[in-house]
Amino acid sequence: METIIEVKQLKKKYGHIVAVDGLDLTVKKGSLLAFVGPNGAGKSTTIHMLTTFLAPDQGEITIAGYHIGKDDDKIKAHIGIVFQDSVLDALLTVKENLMIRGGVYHMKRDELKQAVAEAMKVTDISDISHRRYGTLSGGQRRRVDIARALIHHPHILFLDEPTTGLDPQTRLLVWDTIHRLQKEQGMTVFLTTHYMEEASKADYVYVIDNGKIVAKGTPNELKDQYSSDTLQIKPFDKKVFHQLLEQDQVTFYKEADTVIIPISQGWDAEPLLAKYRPYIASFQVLNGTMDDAFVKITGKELRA
Amino acid sequence: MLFTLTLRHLKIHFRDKVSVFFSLLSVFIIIGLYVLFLGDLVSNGQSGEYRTMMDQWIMSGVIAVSGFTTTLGAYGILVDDKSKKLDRDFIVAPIKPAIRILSYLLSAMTIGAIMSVVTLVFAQIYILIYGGPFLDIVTILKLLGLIIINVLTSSSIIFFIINFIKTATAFSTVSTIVGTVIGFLMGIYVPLGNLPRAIQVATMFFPTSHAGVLFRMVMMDASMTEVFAGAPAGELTSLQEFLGVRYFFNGQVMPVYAHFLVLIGTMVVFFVLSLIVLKYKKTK
Repeated sequence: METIIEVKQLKKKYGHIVAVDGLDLTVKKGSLLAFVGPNGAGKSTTIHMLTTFLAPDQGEITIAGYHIGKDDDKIKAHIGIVFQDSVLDALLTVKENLMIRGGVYHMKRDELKQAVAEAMKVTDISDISHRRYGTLSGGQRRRVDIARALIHHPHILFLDEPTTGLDPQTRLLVWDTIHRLQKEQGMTVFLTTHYMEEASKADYVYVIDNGKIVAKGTPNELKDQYSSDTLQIKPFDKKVFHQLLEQDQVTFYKEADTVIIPISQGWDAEPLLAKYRPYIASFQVLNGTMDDAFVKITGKELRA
Repeated sequence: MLFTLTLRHLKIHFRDKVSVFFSLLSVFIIIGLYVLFLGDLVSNGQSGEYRTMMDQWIMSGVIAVSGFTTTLGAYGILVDDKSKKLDRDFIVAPIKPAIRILSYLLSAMTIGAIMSVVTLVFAQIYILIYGGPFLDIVTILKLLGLIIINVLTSSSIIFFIINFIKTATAFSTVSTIVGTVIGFLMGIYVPLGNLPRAIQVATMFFPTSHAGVLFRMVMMDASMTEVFAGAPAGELTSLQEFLGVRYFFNGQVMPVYAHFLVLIGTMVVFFVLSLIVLKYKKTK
């Protein structure tokens, strides 16, 4: 597959603080890339540099064949951006907002009208087009924000924490829209998130911490590499069971009234269960999660 | 592109009805004060032609002030966009920075001009209520021309100041201060002749007070001629000096073209200063 975003040795400092420290990134055309990291890891700074909003101190960024710093206007015409906080006007209607924001992309009036109608259709907001942006719910606003980013038919859609602050149902709805854009329009999507669970829906994941890429891969690769399956047992008697495991030199963690035993794959649970059957009240075998991988990679819980 | 952005600013401004009302508040307050007592005070309780002349004097000042304050209010959009970071969306769109900035200037001037005309309508109503005449078409056209120059100059001065304002709080503080002081700086609350010489000079150095002078000259022209018909020339001049209808320096009257020069010169100077500031900010 063709590469659409290429970043080499990207650096940005704020005074003495190094926000982004020698970042390398590659994004394939038509893929959905998740850029994950704790708050303050450098996610927003990176996305700001990729979207021409902020000039890098060092490094090279190529987007759709154009170089940042040289062909910014061309890049701007090829990318759509959904900001973390809303940038639309609360007092104007959805349609007015879209017509105005789309009005700066050198389109004829008819073309623009059609583009706005299409963007509203894709994001499923046609029925609220005459409501004022300020009166919409969080989820509706988010979809209008996405529609705004789509008017000029960009090749790449950047979303900076698109689901932060939304309720779970709305989050799913937003994700559904993002997925549809990728599948149906072949859009390349670059999004940042601090929900690990969301990153597992991406084609490829970069984990950033302290301005550096600390891990990358498909969600399955990351899970395989950085998390393990676990056998979780609730024993009848905690003390007795702990002693038993210690005697047998089985590695385990205690968590409330359950005992967690890391295993390399699900079937490894069978002999353990057979062996300790009389002591087990209940059990479950769990696959490793992206959250586990994340904690392993960054050494910290997500600072959500 | 410029048109689209300007239209956006205008739409936002006029859709916020409360803020539009408040941008005219200082105008309403001044008119209110004159209706309540200042009107009788400055016209010494006289009616007829003299009262009309004094009403026109007041209203000239009100129009001059409103051009400044409503233009200032209109720049609230620029401050809002900056402080709420709404302008990011324009920055990441293929819009030239100069166009973006110009759109705010254009919208502020348009808003200032529209609100000045609204004030002119209120002024005409006030004058009519107290027995004055309708303005004739030539006077109206002259006033419209002056409104435009006044708004252009005010806009240029305010834009320079706005460059240093980053938060909505700072903006509202500046607005309050300007709203309070501007009436004095333009010499509209109290006739210039009643003020100490130092303040008179300060007023004369305030650029848009020269717009006030021109507004008075145009608006009061007919009524002054009538009031002073047959009176010695010295009386007219001394009243003109007293009311700030003409400025005098060392007994020499300041010519009309000089007032225009002050306004246009100020406009150019502040515009250039703004460009320098913008350039400096960019390289920083």
